[in-house]
Amino acid sequence: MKVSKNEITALLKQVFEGLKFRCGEYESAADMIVWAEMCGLSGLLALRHSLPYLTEQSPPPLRSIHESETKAVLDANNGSSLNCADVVMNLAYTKALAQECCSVTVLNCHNRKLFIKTIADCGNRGMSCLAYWRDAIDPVALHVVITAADSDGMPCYSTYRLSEQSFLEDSQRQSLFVECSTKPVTPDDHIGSLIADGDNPATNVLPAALQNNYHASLMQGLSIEEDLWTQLQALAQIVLVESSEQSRMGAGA
Amino acid sequence: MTSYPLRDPSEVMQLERLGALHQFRLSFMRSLIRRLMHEQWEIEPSTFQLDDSGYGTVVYRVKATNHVFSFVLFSNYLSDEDRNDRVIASQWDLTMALCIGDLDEQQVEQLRANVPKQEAGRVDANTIVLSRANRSSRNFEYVVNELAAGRQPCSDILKNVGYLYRTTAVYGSGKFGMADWGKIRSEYPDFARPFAAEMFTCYMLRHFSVEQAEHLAKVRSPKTAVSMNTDVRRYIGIGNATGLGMAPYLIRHPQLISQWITVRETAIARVLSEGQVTAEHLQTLGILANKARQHYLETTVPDESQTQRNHTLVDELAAMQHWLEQHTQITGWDKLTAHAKQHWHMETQELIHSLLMELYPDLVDELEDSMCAEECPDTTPQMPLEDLKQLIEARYAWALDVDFEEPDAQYLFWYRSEEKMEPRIGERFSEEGADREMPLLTIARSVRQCYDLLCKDLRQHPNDDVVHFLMREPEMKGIIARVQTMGQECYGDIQANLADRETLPIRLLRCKLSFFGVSKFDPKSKFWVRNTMFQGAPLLTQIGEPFFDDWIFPLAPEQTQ
Repeated sequence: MKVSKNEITALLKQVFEGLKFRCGEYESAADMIVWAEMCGLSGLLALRHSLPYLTEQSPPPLRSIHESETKAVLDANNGSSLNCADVVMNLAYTKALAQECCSVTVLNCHNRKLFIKTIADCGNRGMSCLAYWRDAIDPVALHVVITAADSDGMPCYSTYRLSEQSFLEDSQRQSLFVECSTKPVTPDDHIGSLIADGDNPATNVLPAALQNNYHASLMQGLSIEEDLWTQLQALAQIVLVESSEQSRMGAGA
Repeated sequence: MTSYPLRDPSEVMQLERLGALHQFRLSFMRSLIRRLMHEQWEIEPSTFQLDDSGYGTVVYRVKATNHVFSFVLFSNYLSDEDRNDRVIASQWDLTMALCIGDLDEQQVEQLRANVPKQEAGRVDANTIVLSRANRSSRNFEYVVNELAAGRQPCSDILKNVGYLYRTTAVYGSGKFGMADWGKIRSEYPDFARPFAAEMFTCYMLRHFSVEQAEHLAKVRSPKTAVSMNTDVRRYIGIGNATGLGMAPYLIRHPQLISQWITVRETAIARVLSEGQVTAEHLQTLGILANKARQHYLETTVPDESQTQRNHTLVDELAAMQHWLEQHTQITGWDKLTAHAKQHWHMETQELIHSLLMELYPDLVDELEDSMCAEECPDTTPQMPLEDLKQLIEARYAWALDVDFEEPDAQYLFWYRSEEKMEPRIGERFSEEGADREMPLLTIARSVRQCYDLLCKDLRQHPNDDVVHFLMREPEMKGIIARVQTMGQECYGDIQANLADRETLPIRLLRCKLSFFGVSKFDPKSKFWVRNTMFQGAPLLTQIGEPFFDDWIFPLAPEQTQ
């Protein structure tokens, strides 16, 4: 079925509010999913996969493991990027603003693909940004996102195949690396050692393609599977209050 | 917008003053009518299939300047006992949709299967607005019978209820699968102003309501039936019932509301700074004031408080005219507005602003394209905490002034009911549901909590920034984004504690409705209000005729037969 951007965003906000996301977090989480879906980056599929893990408990806050002027290592405590991506990117942005360049590593973080919107937002703020992470299921896949400063909010998203010998250490399984800079960033500095020289990306989605997808979704609506829509509507009921004669008085009836 | 000395937010954003605003030149109905009159939109019925009871399907083809649209109505039988203006109703006399382009038979069938269901139906991104309306039980039959008998409806009756239909919800912006506002704004310039498509839907409903009444009159008495006179027809508006559902909108779209207020205040400031006072202006103001007085004299509503407010307006407008007679040599209107602020009620002060804006279309009207806002609340993570503290103290002093230790300051909570997600207000200490209070609706309390945490945190981290504070206090993310975003806006947040026991939500409704451009506020409780839309507006049939943008404060037509 087709839904509009506005109604799926409103529904997701309500769902996340019911799932005890914090104020400010549930709006960002809804925006991250809807933006990814509109850009053709399977935001709703990521949501479907994450729903079983989202409970009615406030998600764990980020924990700082190490921090210097130009570096930070944070532990997401096995939480979702839906809860922490904003703060991670805000930290990276703040440090880069002060020091021209910084890197942040996030450990134990799920749904990392949904980080892409916040990385794109960094470009809107006039900052260049690169992020990459190893795929947890397919260990020889590396996801790379690059946003140029003032890039109209659309990044370049690529995946690379790593050599079969590249083992995925436990510490890498759910981690994500971000570099933020006032100067252009290039993938070679960071992932050149991970991929063979001259390797072309296995997939490469350019900003124009993301923009086209976004525009088409805005014009025609977003497709969502009916069972997911029904599931989300049921979850959204959590925030509603039962009706009674007394409550009807509170509506002026 | 050129910068002019604007009134201070502490004055303008008080809820009491926002609840005293009146329609004005830049209200959305006024802008819409100017646009379709100046651009001479062509609007004709392409389908008019009503049976002898007035039931059936009608489609109007709307050729606007840039695109063609279709306005579709479905008229169905509704028993008197099922007629209900509340959002929880499930059947209506009329349901309607505004769609993009011409519609083929299949599309109309698809709409017929869904539009009458309203919230329970689904439409597609080709639909811009979905709405419904119920007949005025008092007026509709009366008007049809009078026309059938060859008479015009009596003005005195129309003064009490100046419409045949009352719309109970007008949905847009992507609800139920409709086109998103982003699509309309970027691709359909004819409706690329806030609520333009929604207002147009009500305008078309008004036109249909008279056509249907005339159709029924002719069916009932083909030999004696007459059409409605133009004066009477213009006096027929569309009724509207607006409830709490509109209130959270104002809190959740603070940048948009701040923009609307900024535009209105800019228009006022332009008039006060640049408006030359000539004898002609004084004369026009006198005519307008007389018209406004008469309008309020003709406005009869059951609510005693509103009646008193209308009487006050009538009296103080007379006082204004008297004052002007004694001050014919004034060179600027600031003397009048200063006198009004000192001596007259807020309702009158704001009505005078509306009147003054009418005198200077050249200074005011170009602002109508500035009503949109990019709504992107954002955190400024690098802001030093001390700066954030100062920002709160400077822009949210009104919130810090509330003593939340007082039970009355937290007496109310806003929530969504399981009945169609209708927003409702409960009493915190005696009703269930406070655990599901709508977040961030009570800005004042959230600001207070944030400020207290911030002051405590600053003692330990005096040189820290916002992002590190947020890592320690993630619960504050929403309110900090709000404060930092609205701190940059000219007018910022509405300055009211909406959890206070004495809060009058109807003031929020009145504020928004004034921007829509409605008249004849008829409060039914502190939670909902009836009003009239498009009363006095030019008719579809008058498009192409000379247009005088003077339909503010409509007056009842003289009785003729």
